[in-house]
Amino acid sequence: MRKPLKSLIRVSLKNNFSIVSLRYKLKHQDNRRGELIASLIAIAIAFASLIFMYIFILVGMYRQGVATEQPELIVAFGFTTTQFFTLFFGIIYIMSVFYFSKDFSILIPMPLTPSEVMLSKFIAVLANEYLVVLPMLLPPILIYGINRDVSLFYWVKSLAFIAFAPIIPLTMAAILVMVIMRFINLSRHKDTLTIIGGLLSILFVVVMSIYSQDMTGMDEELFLETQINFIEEIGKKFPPSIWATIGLVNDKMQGILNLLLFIGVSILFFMGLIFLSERVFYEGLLAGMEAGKKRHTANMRIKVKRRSPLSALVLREWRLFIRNPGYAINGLAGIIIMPLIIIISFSANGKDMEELISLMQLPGADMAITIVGIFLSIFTSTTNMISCTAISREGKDVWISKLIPVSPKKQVLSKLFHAMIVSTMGIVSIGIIYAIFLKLSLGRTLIILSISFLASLFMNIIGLIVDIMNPKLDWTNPQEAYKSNINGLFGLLSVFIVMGILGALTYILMAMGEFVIYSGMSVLLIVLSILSLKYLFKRVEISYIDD
Amino acid sequence: MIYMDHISKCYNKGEIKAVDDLCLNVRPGEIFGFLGPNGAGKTTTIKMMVGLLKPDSGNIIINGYDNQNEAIDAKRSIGYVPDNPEVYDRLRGIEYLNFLADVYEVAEDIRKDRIEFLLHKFGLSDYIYDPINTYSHGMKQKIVLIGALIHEPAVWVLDEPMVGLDPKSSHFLKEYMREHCNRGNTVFFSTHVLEIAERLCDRIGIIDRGKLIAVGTMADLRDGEQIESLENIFLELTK
Repeated sequence: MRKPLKSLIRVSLKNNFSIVSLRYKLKHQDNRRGELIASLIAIAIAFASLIFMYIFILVGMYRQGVATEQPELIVAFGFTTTQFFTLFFGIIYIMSVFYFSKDFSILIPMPLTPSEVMLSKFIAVLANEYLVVLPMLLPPILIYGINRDVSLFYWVKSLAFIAFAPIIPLTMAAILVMVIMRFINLSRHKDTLTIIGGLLSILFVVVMSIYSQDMTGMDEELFLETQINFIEEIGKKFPPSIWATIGLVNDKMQGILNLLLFIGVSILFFMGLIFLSERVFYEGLLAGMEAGKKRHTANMRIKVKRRSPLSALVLREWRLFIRNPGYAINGLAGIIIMPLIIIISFSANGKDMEELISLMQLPGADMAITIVGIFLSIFTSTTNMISCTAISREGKDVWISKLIPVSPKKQVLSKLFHAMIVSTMGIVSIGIIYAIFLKLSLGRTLIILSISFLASLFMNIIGLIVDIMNPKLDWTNPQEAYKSNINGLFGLLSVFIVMGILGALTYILMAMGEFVIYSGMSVLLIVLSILSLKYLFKRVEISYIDD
Repeated sequence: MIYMDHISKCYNKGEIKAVDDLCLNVRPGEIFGFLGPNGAGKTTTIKMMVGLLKPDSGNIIINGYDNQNEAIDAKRSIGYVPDNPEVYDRLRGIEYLNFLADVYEVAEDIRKDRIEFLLHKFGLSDYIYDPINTYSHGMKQKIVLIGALIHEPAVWVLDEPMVGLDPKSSHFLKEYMREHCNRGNTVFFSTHVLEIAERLCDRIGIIDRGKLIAVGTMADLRDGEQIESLENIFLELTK
């Protein structure tokens, strides 16, 4: 490997994991140290609960595999899902890193070959992929290995398979993206691509939810059969998963041959990627860097329309949110996904629906349905992370907010209005769809709408407090303000805490009747909203004049 | 019009004194040039003036308003251009200007005239309906300048305003600064281009390592030495 390439890869990896800035923050910024530790703890908790759930599913699957004398089912499942994930999200990820990174204007003029520049980017993506591959692949390999009392050779081979697992799907994704970008110049349509990527991810979540719903409706035998068919189908379309499974579980010659086949094809794909990048990588990249044709607006009359400062601020919030596809997709995803899931679940399972409608005739069912509706509506309208990233999203432009002669109180109020607009969209969409499908009365629908509105108000105020206390303004990619922002996690956590409190209140007041439950919830939320709003106004005055 | 009274600002828990006990009075009708090497404390001083940073100690009075206790009135008096024109790049140029005119409460007919005049002078009229993220660095600098001047503030605070401007726009800005001061207002600007400071400014201040080391007219700074250029004075003082 050439020395410049080694340095480039080192820099690319450092940049990828923000090593330099992390080191600086830990050394020089005490407040950042606390934030980092809190982030690590929050991530560890989230990660541990996900892994726990994953292991729980895998153990069940292993038992079913053993019952049908196919214990290797979980290994096949592990390889298939890991590689499918790598391929699907790899396409979106590679597109963003290969064609939308800001450092190409520095890298291209350097005496480096196109394949070297591509390689430095590819290795950074690959390093991130291992963070996904390890937790996905390690549990099925461990469960199988521990339960089957395997030889040492199994464990040695598993290391090779883990190391090579993301290579084929990721190189496939990279080759696909490079060829597309060579012939179709999509770089100028970055926003459209982000929206398509976001919509595909939403579709992915909806399809997965329908699939898992279908699974839970089946009896055990059918479930297992479908699972095997699913694996086989994917295996047919993506043979490397089957090579990896046989290569790992079979200690005989067939296993070794499959191992060699898996590694050989991985290397072949990798070499193909290098070969192709030398020819097409820069062509697509340079075409995208050419300035687009300016849309001249000569001779257009200047349109001015006076608004009050508050409405101008709300309009600014809305425009900056809706015109940034990353923000819009993340903020509106819940509003799109949840009603879709409700529509699909209520309309697809006719038999279940009939059962549900008959259950609704039972005494007390109306109350249960209303309470479920309230919680569903609260969840949909408050998990958009709009309020808990409201200040962070301003990033380097925050100087404008600090400069303008509008009181911090009015400014934060505009952010609250914006968050409430989106929350209300969620409340209305979910509340109305829920009410229509379950044939709820107007009174009950209004109860769902008003209590979830109050809950959204309170949680949006809490979100703003969280973000005002420690906004993440130092970002280069707007997505960082949303996705790599610890405040988002704290915001979501507060949603769950408040839902827990409301759940507990419902339980306590259950015996006193419906009216008391709804009144109790409303009074509690109004009191909490007033108190938190007072604190928000006090806190924002300090934050807007502080550093 | 700008009065800074013993202002100080430290970073890294007092390890770095960015601005150290700075006192300055900029009078009405004056163009004041603020010079200093990189990292001397120019931008920190300017940020404290416009309310983006809070001084550790000292007071700043802008157009008769204390910029901490009467922040809104002080802000209304200021037109600020930062050293880096970071603006809402998802907005169109006209939307950004209308937003600022709204928050500074500029009447509809007045804002229309001002926007048209400034767009024409800076040669930006053809691009005003384009999103700001399609603008070049110079065009962004122009839109920030127009936004800063849209409410006709009494005090202009401009951090490196000429960077990125084409010669025509730069010439207009210099003339406009003089006109503004002739009406009894104030311009406070930082620059590294010493020729501009020498030709344009009524008085000049030089800051080095957080301390204001010299203030005065060109004649004051020359201190009787007739041949000395501002460059020589600057190099001598900031050695």
